[in-house]
Amino acid sequence: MAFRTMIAAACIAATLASTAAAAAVSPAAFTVDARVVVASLASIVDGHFRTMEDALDLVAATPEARSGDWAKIRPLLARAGKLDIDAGLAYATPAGSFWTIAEGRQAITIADRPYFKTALTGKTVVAEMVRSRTTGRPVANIAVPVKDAGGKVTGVLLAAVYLDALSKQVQREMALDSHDIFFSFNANALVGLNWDQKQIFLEARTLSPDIDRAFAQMLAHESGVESYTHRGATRTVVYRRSAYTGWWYAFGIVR
Amino acid sequence: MLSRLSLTVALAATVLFPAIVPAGAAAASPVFTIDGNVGLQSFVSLTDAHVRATLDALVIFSESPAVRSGSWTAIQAAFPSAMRGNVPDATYLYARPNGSYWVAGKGLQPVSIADRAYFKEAISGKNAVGDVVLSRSVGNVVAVVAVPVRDANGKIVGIVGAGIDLAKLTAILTQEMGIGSSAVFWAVDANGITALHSDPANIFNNALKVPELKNALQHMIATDSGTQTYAFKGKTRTVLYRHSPLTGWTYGFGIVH
Repeated sequence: MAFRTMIAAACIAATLASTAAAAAVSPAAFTVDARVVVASLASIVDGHFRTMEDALDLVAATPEARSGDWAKIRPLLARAGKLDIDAGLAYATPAGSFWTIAEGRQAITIADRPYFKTALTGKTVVAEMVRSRTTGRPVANIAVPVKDAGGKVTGVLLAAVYLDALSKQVQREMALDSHDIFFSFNANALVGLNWDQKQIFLEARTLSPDIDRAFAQMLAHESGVESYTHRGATRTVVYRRSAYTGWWYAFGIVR
Repeated sequence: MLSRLSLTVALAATVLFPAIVPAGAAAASPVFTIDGNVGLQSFVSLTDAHVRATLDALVIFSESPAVRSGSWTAIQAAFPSAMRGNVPDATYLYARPNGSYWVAGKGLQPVSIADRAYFKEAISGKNAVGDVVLSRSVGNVVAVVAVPVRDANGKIVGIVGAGIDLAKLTAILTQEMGIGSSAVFWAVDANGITALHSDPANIFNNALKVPELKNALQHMIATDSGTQTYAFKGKTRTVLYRHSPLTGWTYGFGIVH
């Protein structure tokens, strides 16, 4: 709160200066509080995950998915792959062997992956971050169990949402400039989405003591404002946690 | 960056940059604010995402053997588990090529939808998105999304559709964006029928029939995007607006001075 007051006092002049500059370039008709922006950011991202989860739910409820026959599952799953979300789609047997839409049967297994183990217990998993074993790209996985009429899990449908692609999509959907800072992170402070895609999968708390402090604060709260120094500049972000993904979303500025 | 970001305090924001603030935060100073265009784009993207999610789900659903069977019993059994995520409480229907139709949870309806524009479009083989109508089965104002159902040979054997309750969608969007009473937002179709409005009492009104709105709205509907200032109910409003190719609606997002 003290920092906020400091910003307030220090920035009247900055506001006036920016107003003059803005008027010369492209004056904003009005502005939006950053808290509205971060709420929108969280809702837009959550919405994409929800859409994919719904699509997998739809496929999981079909006799084709329950058949366990990849030849029958593939056409329906391929349709889910046409959603406006860049993701790799797959089906796995309870043993962990799996097929992808892009490359068919895989030689490796996902039996050891936590999201897979959770899905095998009958629970849907949303936004669990891993590095894909098939593509090597950082992804957020959605895993939906396929159940037979008796409720027994007979397989798992998977969507690996590409975090770099989703970051760019959100940037475009919100008309954010390339220098508008936004990011998300999970309960381990592992960075998911990021305005600078090179920072995806960064373990944020290892970057500096100040960033470690800031992330500890954010992880301890559902929403708020935090400031920290990174690359020699102070950053102020507003943040909020999503109960759906379990991620924290942040939107901020560099000064 | 200075043209876009406005580091601000409450007084400066009020005088120099009218700002949209979150619900319940009227007295709190924004930490910082950003160009209202981000608000408009977020509003359009969130709304379109809800509609697109419904469309995508219906397309997947229409290709399932249960729907292709044409058996209402089979279709009805699949509906409840099929549609639940992005747009809760939508009304789902299945119609035959003659316009007779069934509604999930209500069964066969005594009227026809053969005259509805969305039905004609979907039964001709195209996806129909964004028709704003008063539901004949439920009585609420809905935006309809409808897609054709084809049999194994590609012949159109019916349509499946969803009626998105626009008052509920308005409430969802308000909550998702976390906006308070300082914001005004709306969406109108090409005929000026209000689909969404921050004041839900305006939903389904024909805004083009409101004399004080007519000229400004005609201009906004006719242009792809821009900024417009107009008076409504004795107050001046400034909105950023843009057209959505998905719904065909014009979306406005702004402030009441």
